[in-house]
Amino acid sequence: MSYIARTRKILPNAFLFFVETGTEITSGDPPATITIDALAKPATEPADNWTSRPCTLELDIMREIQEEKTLCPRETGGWGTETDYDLIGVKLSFTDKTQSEHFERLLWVLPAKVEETEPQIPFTGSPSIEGWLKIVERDRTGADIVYCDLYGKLTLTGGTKVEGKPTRPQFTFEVLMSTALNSWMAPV
Amino acid sequence: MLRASTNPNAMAKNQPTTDTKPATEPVKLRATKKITVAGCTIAPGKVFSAHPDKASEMISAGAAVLVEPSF
Repeated sequence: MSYIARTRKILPNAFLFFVETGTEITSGDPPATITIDALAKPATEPADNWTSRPCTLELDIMREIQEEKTLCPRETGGWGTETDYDLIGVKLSFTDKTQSEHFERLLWVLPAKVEETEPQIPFTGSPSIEGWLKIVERDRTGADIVYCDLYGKLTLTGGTKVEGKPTRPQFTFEVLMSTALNSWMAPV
Repeated sequence: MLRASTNPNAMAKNQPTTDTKPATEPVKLRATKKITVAGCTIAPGKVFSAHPDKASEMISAGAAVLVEPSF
């Protein structure tokens, strides 16, 4: 997308996809097997390697920036404050329209993926799910404007309240900054 | 007195066996650079398994090294 196009007023929406760490992908001729983790990320195609997440109502990209103020000498005399900004972490917060397997597993801290009619012991699993999150932002004309793949940990921000209105699960995704496979791209 | 068997099956058993079947068991590799394998992008240091033919290809290309010897 050109610089001019980027200066237009846009109303992006976002679609999220997830692939969990530990997922095994066998493909190729002759075949090779890859176990997904921070050092291995599936390509966009085939799409069935990724789980489509529920409709995203809100997506907030929260950068944690540390400020450091230093008193430096001025060339013209005297002293002045200089500020350095360091990015020390990134968290994404998003709200789903509907419940999902992720929601149930994290709410009840289940030790395994939810399978229908398969009993599990609650509160014995991990309160986070590690994996790759793919974000596709699209403008109002249907053109993709951002592709972003991030590795991190997915947690449920709040619980759920049984009341007379639909539950809107809210999640936090903490990005692991150290993997070299995190990627961001603006499609042409 | 014991006599050498003339049973052809017994003789065949004594022949040294030569296994000419090609190895098909996957071998373990460690990526040495960023490469694409099985539709996945993998970073250096990633351990994965591949068919011996695929493994040879990647080792020759300097993209991976063997983690374990295959027997």
